[in-house]
Amino acid sequence: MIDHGHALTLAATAVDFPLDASERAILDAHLRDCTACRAELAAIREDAAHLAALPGIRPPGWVRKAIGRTHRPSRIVLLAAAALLVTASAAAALLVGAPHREARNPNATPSATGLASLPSSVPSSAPLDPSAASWTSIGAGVGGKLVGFAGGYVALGSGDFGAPIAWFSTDGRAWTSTSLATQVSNCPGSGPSGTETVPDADAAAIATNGRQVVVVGAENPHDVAGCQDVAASIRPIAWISDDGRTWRRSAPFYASGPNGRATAVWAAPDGWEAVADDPRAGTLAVWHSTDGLTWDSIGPLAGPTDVPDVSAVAAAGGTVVVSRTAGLFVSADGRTWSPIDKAGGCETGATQILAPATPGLNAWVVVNGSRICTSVNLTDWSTKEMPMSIVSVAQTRFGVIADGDTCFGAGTNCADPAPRAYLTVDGVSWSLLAHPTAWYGRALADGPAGVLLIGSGPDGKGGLVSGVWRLEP
Amino acid sequence: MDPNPGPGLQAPIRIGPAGAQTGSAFEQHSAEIHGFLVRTVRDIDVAADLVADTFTKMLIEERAGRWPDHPRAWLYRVASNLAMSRGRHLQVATGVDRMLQRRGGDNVADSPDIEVLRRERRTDLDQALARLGADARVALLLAAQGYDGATIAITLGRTEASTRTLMSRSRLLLRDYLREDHR
Repeated sequence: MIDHGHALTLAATAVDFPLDASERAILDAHLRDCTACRAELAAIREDAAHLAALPGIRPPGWVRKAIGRTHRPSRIVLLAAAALLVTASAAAALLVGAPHREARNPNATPSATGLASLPSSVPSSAPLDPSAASWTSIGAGVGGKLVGFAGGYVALGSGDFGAPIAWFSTDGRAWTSTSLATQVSNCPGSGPSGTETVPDADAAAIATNGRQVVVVGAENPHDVAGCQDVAASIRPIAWISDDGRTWRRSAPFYASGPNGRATAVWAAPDGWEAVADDPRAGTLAVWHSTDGLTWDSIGPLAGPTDVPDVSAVAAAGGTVVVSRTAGLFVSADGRTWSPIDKAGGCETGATQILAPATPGLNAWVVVNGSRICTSVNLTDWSTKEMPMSIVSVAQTRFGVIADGDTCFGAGTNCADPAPRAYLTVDGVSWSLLAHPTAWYGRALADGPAGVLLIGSGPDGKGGLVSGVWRLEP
Repeated sequence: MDPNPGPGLQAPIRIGPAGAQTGSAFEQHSAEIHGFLVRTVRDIDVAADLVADTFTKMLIEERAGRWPDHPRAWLYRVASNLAMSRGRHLQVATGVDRMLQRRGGDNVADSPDIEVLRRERRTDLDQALARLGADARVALLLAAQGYDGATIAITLGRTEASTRTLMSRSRLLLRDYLREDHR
């Protein structure tokens, strides 16, 4: 009789390779008399089944655009650059001191886009002549998710190990960065060396009410308790800023329990609402805060309870529309949700939503791939199939601007590979706008200095450089 | 191009004349290839780069009139080779896992797929998989996609005998790691 080790080797081999007759006979004979080995073989087969059940993961949107581009720079190089940036920003944060702590009642006017509270010095929303409009390069060195508010612009980016970075500018030209996380020692034994520092938080979403900016994400303090129990060390948190420069960090949404993250946030009439795990209910929940610092769960989010699949959200005047894998849902109070069964073909798979805005387009905008669906009342919809895959959309003083790419899968063989931008003032007709030479990571926002677009474009040397462009009417 | 040719027009996304098959393959297989690469190289940016490289190679084949008979198998083979080559160059460390767990950036932080991955990262299976070598992960993940041992041996550039040893040891190691995690 063979020993257990030999038997288990044969059993593991048999999962992927046929055994010859003698090996099969030896193994079968051993398994007949060895309960433990039979159990081990069953467990090995179960492991294989679990591996086979792992789901696919859609690649980021830039991947398809990069196919066929022979001069595509390595993302690793970009990450290295980001690491340098976060190091610099962390040092800057130390120099300027810790964020101030006093609380205040924001008493803010709700607006999903921040346009409603722009100062009076902002140029009027006079009609834009799309054929005459152009973009002026005004800055560089910033990337991420962009919002405009009364004080300027905030771009939420990330650095090494996902460290959240808030870039701020009043005019789009000069940007300062603030690291929203604190560098802490990694858990013993984790990481490349086990002794490096890592950020104690990451960020997932950003929103503005026009006067303040809120970011949500998760914290992982890497403390002794967290390092010993990694399944219960990550907590949803938020940051709030009145000026884009100084940020106050909330307490964790809840004190103990399984890991959880906040993945979406929007301005509500009396504060803020966010989507985050609620371990007490064992579900994804809507959380409410009056000040961005203290959060309370107000009820489960519509749709599946255990999949954090919020892909887009927008809110205006207390009405919230959220996109999940199961479809679109609407709520008037963040507590009671109804499905939107018909949305012009954008019911499922929506990746971006805009709320009505003034100035701007007084309609909801839902983006699904190359399709844009618009509705004033969330009941009657207009659908437009754009000649591009949409990268970003934004409410602006001129109307809604959609930015995208015309070539998918064709690479350099595409006859017209440049990115495109279109403007609509009625949600139905779209006019072609000029577009700056920005290929990746594009984001749009309106703010005090006008409509900005950030992204990365060719530097003329075979690489990429990030840039900031302003739309010139 | 005018996007306003009339109401109800469902214009397809334009695909270059020599990129149609690659575009279709991307639609069909990019998620599973990306998932395979993320779990193999354990860095989401490297994985995305390799997905682009894999489909770029497919586009080159298509342009040259050499469309593979079995596109899915071809994609896995190319992706595996790229992953192992990249792994040997970069020696991707297990510590990158934490970067993967925590990184949030453009096109990343708000993706529901990435959130699924974040959850997966907390599982015992993923942590155990991370402790295996790159070749072992490629082998087990290819097997999970239905490829037999002989095919995996060819993909890895190993003899069938050494692949057999690699895979049986890897399955036993994976079991040991999972057992440790459950203690």
